[in-house]
Amino acid sequence: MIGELQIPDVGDAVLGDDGVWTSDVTNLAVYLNGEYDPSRAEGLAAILPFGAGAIMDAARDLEGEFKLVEPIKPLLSLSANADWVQNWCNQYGGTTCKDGAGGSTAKDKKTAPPPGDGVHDPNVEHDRNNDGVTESARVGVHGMKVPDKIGKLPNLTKRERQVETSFRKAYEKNPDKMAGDYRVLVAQTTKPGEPRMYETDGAKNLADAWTHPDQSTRAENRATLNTPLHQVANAVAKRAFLHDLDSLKEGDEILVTVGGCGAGKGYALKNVPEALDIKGRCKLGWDSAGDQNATENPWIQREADKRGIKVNYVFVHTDPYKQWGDPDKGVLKRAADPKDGRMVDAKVFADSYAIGAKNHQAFYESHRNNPNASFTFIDNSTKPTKIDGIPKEALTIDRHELADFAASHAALTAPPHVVRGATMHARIWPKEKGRRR
Amino acid sequence: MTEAEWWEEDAKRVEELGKRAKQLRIIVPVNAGNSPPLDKNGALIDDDATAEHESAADTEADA
Repeated sequence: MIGELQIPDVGDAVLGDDGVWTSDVTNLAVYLNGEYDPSRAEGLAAILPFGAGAIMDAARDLEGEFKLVEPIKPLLSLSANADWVQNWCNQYGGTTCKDGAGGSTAKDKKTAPPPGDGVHDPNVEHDRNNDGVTESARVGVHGMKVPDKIGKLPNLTKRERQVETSFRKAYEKNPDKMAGDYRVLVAQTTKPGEPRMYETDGAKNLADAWTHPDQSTRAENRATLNTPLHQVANAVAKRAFLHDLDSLKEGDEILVTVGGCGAGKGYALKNVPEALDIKGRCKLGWDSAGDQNATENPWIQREADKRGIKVNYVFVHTDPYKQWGDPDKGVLKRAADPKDGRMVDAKVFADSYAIGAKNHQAFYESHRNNPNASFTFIDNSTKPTKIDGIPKEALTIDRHELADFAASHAALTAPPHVVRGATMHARIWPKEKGRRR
Repeated sequence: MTEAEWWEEDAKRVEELGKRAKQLRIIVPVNAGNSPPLDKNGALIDDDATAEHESAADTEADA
């Protein structure tokens, strides 16, 4: 390294011996003529610290070298060199320094998981039994298990660790009590005639940070503490669901909704008559968090088969690129809304579409002839419509590319607490495990 | 109803869940403290100050 460049308020760029500027803002998509081009990432990263406006100006000024793919996708291609960046710096007010500070969530101080039980840091592509369905998602608990002890996330900050530990200890002290509490909550908030739906996000309402009386604090908590609360909430919801499953009798039916994070599963279900018919027949349901990548399907089927219960899977497909940044209904928009606020990390989001679709497809192929399983597919890309199966494009999503896009789009457009929630993967999971899938 | 409207309704449903959880007295304190100040990147402005702040909050809670 021969120098550093500090960019006001946004982050640092570093000039390497090779004359190439790089930045700690690394999770940014690079598109060359509409194609994802990771080899150009360094060049793009060099100007990203200057902010979205500067990049857009550059795109206009250097038309030909740049190609703006479409407004919703942040960017493009660029070959940057030191002189070019220095000129850019002069124009937009950057200053050079040797000890430049500045930051991203990756720089936050980390805590090690407390000693004792295990750490939850799985290879999200691991399929030990080769059934085509991966075992564990980045967050939550093992797909096939309802554990008494909860694995801890790596690399949390002090505050996140406090929250994770408090919620975890409350669960581990008496898992059945906490699940029972949530079961009562579900029963008391279910409308007459509708199935009792269990969901991981719903169980987060057992944490005071999630239900903080001040709306603005609550929204910030939902954006920044969603990930550390998720493991216990997932375990609570699964345990409560399992308890309630015991209340059904042989021949009863249940509903399972599957799809990526923020795919609009509930909305789609409400607007497709076949899905509404299914819902009307069910007494109980599992509204799976996209975050789990459909890893829970085999667990649900196993538990249903034990009890002679039929499972109706409704998979909702949508375009994750649109669903993330849509100005009316997108994940980022809702996270920035104080009345909502829940923010999912960009890598968790990307896994939920890329791995989740593949997992559900493999599960469907294994169980399509199972008399105790039925499968319905809905396309929510535009108007919710019943379709025959998962669209091919959903099975070829590159999770790394999608995560890059999601993180960059958040960094360029969202308020700080939402950016924090979207990009904490850079600190929690700094090294990716497994092959590209 | 548009999807955006549906999400607004869903946010109200989640709020009701929280209110009912409070009525049922099943809420777990998770010691989150106040939201720490963040810079534009979503990074903590002062990690150490946050830690001290949280320690103070813990002490108050213990008292």
